[in-house]
Amino acid sequence: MNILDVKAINKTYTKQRWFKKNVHPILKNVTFSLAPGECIAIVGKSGSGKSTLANIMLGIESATSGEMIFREKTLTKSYYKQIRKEIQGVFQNSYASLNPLQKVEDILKEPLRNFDLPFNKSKLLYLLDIVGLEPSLLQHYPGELSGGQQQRLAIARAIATEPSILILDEVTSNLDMVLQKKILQLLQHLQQTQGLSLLFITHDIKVARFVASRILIMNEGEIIDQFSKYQQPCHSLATQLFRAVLPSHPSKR
Amino acid sequence: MIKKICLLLLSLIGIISLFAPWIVPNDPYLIDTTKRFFNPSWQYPLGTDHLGRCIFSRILIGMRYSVGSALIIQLISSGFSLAIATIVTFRQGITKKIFIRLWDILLSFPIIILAFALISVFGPGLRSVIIALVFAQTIYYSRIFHNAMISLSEMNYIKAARVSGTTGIKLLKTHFIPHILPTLYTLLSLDLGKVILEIAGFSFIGLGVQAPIPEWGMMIDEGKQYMRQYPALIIYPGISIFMIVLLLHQVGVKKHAN
Amino acid sequence: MQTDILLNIENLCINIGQEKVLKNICLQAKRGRILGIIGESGSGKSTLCRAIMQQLPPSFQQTDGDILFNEYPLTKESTDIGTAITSILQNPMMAFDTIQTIEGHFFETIKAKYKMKPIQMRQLAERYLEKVQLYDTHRILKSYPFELSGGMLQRIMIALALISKPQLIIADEPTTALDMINQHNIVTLLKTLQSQEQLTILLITHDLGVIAALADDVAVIHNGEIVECADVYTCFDSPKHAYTKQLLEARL
Repeated sequence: MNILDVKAINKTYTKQRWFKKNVHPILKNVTFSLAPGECIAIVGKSGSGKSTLANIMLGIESATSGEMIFREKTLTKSYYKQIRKEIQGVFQNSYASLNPLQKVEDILKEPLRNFDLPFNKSKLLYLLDIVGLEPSLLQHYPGELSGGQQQRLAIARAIATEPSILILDEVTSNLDMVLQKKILQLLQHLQQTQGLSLLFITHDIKVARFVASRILIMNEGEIIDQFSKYQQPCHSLATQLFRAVLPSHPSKR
Repeated sequence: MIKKICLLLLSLIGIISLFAPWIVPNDPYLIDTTKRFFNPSWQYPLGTDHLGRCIFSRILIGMRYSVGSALIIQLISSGFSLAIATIVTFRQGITKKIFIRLWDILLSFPIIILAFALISVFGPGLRSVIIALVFAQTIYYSRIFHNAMISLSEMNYIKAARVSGTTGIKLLKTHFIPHILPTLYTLLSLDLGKVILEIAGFSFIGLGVQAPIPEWGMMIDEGKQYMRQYPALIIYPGISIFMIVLLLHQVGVKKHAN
Repeated sequence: MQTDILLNIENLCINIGQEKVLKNICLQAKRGRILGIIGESGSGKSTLCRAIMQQLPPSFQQTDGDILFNEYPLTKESTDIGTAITSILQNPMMAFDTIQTIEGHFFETIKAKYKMKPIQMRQLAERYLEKVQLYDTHRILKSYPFELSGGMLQRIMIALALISKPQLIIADEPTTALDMINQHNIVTLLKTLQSQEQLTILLITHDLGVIAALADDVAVIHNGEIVECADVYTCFDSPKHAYTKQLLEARL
């Protein structure tokens, strides 16, 4: 049983000017599945529609057509409201995704309160501990944290409700190499210990290869190729992406 | 530093106007034609006007009318405009389009015409002026708040809050309002001066408060006939308006810079 | 006098107030080679870049050390900056003047070094656009920066940097704001140009892949200090400093 099935999701943006309708397709017939405990990556350059897909999956935007099936039940608006805590996300710019006027403890309490989950101090400290943040940070504001700490906080908030699916939208794009690897390793660790299914959205194929067992390539709103970690891509654009990877050693120039 | 001094002075003015009826040296309404145009003295700190009334006492009592009404106008219009801005920001479709067109039309409407219309219904007086100004300010502010809210709703932390399950009023309270408040404070304080001037303007042309209420604009209106002989009648209220507006601008501008 | 060492930085110390931003930096860029400087954000590499270009904001104070170009100290008044030393900056979308066409940018740069008629300047601009593999020269020259993509703008920036036939090019994170395919293209372009024109490049980046692809020599900067300095093979195969090892381990 797949935990999430995405079927034929289309998203078009219609602009009506008097009698002329301008239709911009952003997502075209996107179909894929996510198995429980699996980590997949969607790779595409900026503008390929991957963030829109993430928004639709997180319930922030609605698709023009198509459906999503969560645990074999179609996701309607009402069903989504019930299971919202099961699908959580982390966004690219960690500083922008944290309300600068909210203290760290309030940021962590918010999702817990919304879903009537216990938000006592021990739970908050436990969350901080899992992502590697010190307990003293509870009273701080996001602006006082470093980039890496902010990203960890965003991850802690996302896993607070013990979701089954975590959607990560370009979470390491702004980070340095050392930090990037640490965050990716943290996410892998969380996946194993918390039993999460991860959906990684990235433009960096190296990141995709590192974390995911299955890679989907997206271009101009369409999934153009799907292959497992150990396979090679078929589509020419996907192959182009693979060839564009910079060498890991000078001898491989 | 300057901001602190200005804030202190403004609070002082606030306290004075609160206790004005009890601390005035003389009855501001007492007419005594034998005491016209006195020069400043211990009994009459700023002298007397053309009807023998103590100018200083009138200025003190007038403060309540000028500044007090302006404050009421600002507070009411902020409340209304926040409500309107919220509704328009979060309702899609036809309501939004209607409001935006309405704003465009109403913003180009001269308040004076509105004031005349209201006066014909309610009669001249402070009430009509307040209603007219509340109306004008509300339209102006709601547009500003609406724009602010639109740009806020694009922020990633709003997205993240929605994913965390925060919706509706809670979303507004925790994530929108705290970010709008600084804009609100700035507008409130900067425009307070403007509104005082507008009230004074209305009184000056005879549409606002009626005699014998010592509203500052009214005082200038009454004093303008004696401009040649005793300019003091218009200078003192004029300076008072100027001082308060200046102080408010200092406080407003500094807050904005912060 | 032609020396092997084009840019020599000796014991450079830069402070903001009491805080030390760069501590005793010693670097040498050798003629005809690419020196890669790798460090994380906050390590001081941008400050170093700006110090060489003599573009530090007033709050930064150089408390010690020299920056020598061809054995002469570089100062704010040096005419070499902008002609013999040019730069390629990080975010191409922000680096251009939005109200000037690309042609205008070229003319401005060319005028600083050469005296030419407009038609000659245009021809020169077209030649250099072709060098960076942009062939739609007429359209590009007439365009404004916002009409062009990040990858194209980066190539144009390289063309502008080459036009005054510099001895040294300082590339400050030239690929960071680009997507993978454009990154790869720019790296390939720089490699081709370097061997064609015998350029000396000072390449600043946080990406080890860029270093592996381009650099001949590597300097690792961490917390304002150079913790390792070697040729690229030695750096990758036998790193000495713990931070270098950490960086190498962070490769995916």
